[in-house]
Amino acid sequence: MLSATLPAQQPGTGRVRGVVVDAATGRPIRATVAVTPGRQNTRTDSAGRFLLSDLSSGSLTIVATAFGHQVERTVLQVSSDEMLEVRITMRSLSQTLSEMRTTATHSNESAQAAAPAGAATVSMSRRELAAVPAVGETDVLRAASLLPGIAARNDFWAGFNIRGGESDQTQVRLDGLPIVSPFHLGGLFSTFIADAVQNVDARVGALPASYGGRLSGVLDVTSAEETRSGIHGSMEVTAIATSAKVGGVFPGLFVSAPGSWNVAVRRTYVDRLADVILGRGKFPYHFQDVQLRMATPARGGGTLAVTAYAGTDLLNPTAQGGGTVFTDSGTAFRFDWGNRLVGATFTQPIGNSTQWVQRVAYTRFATSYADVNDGARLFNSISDVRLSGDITRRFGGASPKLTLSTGYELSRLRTHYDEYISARAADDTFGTTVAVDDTIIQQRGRAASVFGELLWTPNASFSVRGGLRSDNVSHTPSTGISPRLSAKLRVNRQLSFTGAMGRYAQWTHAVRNEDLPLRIVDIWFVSDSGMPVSTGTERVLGGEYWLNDHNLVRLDLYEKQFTDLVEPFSSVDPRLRPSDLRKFDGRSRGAELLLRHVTSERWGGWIAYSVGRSTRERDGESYFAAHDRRHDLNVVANYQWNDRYTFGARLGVASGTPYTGWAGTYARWTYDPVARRWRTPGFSSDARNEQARTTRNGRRYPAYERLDLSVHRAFRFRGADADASLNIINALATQNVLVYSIDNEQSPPVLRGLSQLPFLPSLGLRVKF
Amino acid sequence: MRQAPLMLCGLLLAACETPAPTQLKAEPGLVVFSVLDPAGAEQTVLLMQTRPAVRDTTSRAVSIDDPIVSAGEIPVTGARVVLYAPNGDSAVAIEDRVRRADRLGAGVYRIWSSGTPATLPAGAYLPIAMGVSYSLRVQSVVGNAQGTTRVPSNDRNLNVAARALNRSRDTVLLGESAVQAAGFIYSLRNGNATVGTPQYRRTIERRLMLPTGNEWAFAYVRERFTVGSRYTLTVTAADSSYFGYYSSEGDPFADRSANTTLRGAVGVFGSVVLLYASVVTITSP
Repeated sequence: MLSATLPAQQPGTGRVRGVVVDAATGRPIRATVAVTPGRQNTRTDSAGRFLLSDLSSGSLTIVATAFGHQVERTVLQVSSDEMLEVRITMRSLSQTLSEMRTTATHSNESAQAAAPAGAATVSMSRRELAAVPAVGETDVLRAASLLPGIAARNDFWAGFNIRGGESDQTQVRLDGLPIVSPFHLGGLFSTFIADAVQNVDARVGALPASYGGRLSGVLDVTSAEETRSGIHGSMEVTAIATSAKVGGVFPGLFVSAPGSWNVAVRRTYVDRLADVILGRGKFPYHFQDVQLRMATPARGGGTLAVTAYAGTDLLNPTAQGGGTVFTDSGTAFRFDWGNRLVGATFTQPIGNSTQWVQRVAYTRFATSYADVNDGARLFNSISDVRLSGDITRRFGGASPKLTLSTGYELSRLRTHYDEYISARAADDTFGTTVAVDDTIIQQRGRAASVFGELLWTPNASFSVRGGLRSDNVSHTPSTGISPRLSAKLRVNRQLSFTGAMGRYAQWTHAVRNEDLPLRIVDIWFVSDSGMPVSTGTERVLGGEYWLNDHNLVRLDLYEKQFTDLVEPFSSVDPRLRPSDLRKFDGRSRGAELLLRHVTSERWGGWIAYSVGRSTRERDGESYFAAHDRRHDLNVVANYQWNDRYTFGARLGVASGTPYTGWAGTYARWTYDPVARRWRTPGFSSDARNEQARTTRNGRRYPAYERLDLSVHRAFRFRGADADASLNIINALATQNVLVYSIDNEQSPPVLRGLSQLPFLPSLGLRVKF
Repeated sequence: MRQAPLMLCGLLLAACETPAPTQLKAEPGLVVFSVLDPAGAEQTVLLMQTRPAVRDTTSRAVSIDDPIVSAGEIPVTGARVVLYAPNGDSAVAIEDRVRRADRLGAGVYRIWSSGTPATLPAGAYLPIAMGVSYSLRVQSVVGNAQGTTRVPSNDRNLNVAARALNRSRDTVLLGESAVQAAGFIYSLRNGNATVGTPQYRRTIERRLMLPTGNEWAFAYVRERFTVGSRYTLTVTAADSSYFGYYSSEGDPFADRSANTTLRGAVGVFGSVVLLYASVVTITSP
């Protein structure tokens, strides 16, 4: 349905600019917009906007297609010197769909299938995100970990392992801007507010040259944009938090077309509930977020968008609060961590076949711990001021056969590490010896990158993408060159094959020893003269077959090698020094099978199975990576029973991850070079009972199994659309082991396991206006 | 009204019950202690088993003839222990239990590094030289292990004669020499007893004692010197295996279980060279 055409005088060939929205809700739609006759087509962006250029004069038909919507065909008269502006509205296929389902957009899978060679990408739409059962409320990143190739180490792990890589090898971006460690409560929740997110794209391999700085993958989170006039929003209340989002349009700053804005906030209130139920200060923990997105059209079809995020976790027991669930009576400390991100993206078409993108961003992650009682403190921050841009030009008119792009990234990196700890070292007749470690490390680094990329599409069936990236990091020995190459062969509309290889480099490191199964926050350092730039190579082969418009099967094989990864010497020693980190190499191989039903009228979901093997090697010794999960199966489904009820389920079954076991105790004997004889430890020495461990990561936790269920009921509440939900996490109450502890004071010793998430029901209520 | 959330918390706590504890069957592992000392006529390799649980072994008097058994540990007997030199020479260690008529010394394996080879047990002779790398291989019923060490080197003898020391006036300096080592251990001894906790340093400190200030190696035991007592100041050079394994002693933050460089065993295979051992008698506080 074409609502308006506004001719405007433009030199050169004809162009059509427009927006695709849902007829019922006015929300933007991710649609494919094609021109007939001819083969030119494009995808709308998250705001539903598109631009078609190099159109020949005469009568053309614009065909808009999107899953869940009727195909819209619009006939236009295009002149060589005109730009037409159109608004296409698409009707939903089912008039019985609930509000929640009609407003959700479809998956990008079909667009990925039609796209030329590029990153291996799996997408999740908002509707799919919302249907995945979650603790309390929809969790963007936790849901993404159910996609093939992405694994969360356990229910609490902050970070994802993409295709066998360490968790700090995954970069999370919000609207293309980097955000560091975007997790709350050790990874139980992600920082993003679900209502403020449009979709998530997981790029798990074959990254083009424009992607740099991380070895394994990218999670691209795209903000939602409000295009309806007036103020619209939603509010969600769950057992742990309340979140609210409002948005609307505002007069355009540069052109008459309006801009859009969205603001979302969230705060947990378990601390406040505990104040009432348990007593003041008994559960002194909360986190809060605020997320902002503004976008306004610019002259010549450009867009200026601003994204900002701020989030904080705070654990703050006070002496006045007495004993809490975290501490003994009287203990007082302050432990907070969080992100800050603010950035702008300017996208500007130049002529008919060129696009320029310029970004500027500031991102920071900081952790701060201060103990009032003993003066212990730990502070770490990493900040990145980044200027980046790229320019892309297509050659070949309406059906470009060649696309060239080039770009740059300039980063100013700062880290700050401040640590003060003390502990009793020894007692003797002269008193107590206290060991103190007081260290401040400040890193000042820069990273400069340039890249060039060529996409060759000789015909509709075959495409090759080649690129070269150069990264120069200050205080490191040399400039790294990272070539990338990928190819795609579309045998027919259903079947396609892909192959890719590339080299990657990473110079920001979360210096965690991944053998630890739990880590609340990350400590970040930047490569310098004492800490190398990590590198990785990747080879990927894949095939995809669409059974029909909604069902696809995808198989991917990968092989990756890592060099100069870094980790702390120990998982116990709290002192971290860039110069003391030890280097290791690694290798990961695996296969992923995805059977996906792209969300249609009533149901959607997927079955993802991964088999992999990740080994690491140091000083000639090979061992399994701590995140090596041999088999991983996730079954995710959502089903709309009627216009009121929607059900969701997730079943996860996986083999256990490795851990280093306990192998007994022994006494540490000492050689006396003066007497030239061996001595046993003294009576009071700790060396009497040293702990012996098994081969590193030589044992495995039991298999993991978890069934999550959700049910949503849509209803009207005082004239607004509402959705009540019940989520049940771990419905079978399976006791998945998080970590073992060993009581070796007993004979024989006793192995005790600490469980991951228990049976955990939660209620939620969401109201939209 | 308050009961509902409390009941929910109770339900969650009940659901949080951890998996049932299980008894752990720890397989016996191999413990290796061996430190090559070029000044020693014999090099010993101690082999014992890890213990499946904590056991107090310190109440026993340790016998020099049968140290492992008398210490309450379980020796590993009948093992094949071979020490290799980089030039291809090797020596097979002989267990004391086999060599001695009284059958004592189970788990204590010995290689001779000085003396007349013809008078020593066949195949058990291998000289130990400074600056040379050696590797050790152990094959036993509880597992196999291997390790390497590069013996520290020193180009001259630094020892000096015993002397009287006026603490408020005198200085003790370590003589100049070309030393190659991963680290240095400073230890003060009073008879056979060690005074204080030995200090491990990555770099050599030649100022052993100064009358004032803190920038001297034995400043950590400055209060322990008493007038009229005799002390031995020792400085030992260590290879990276020895230094890494023992330097965590007295470090409350260190992860001591991660420090071994042996493969297939816990313990240490390292080397040391005693650089300096001189007796001082304190004459003034």
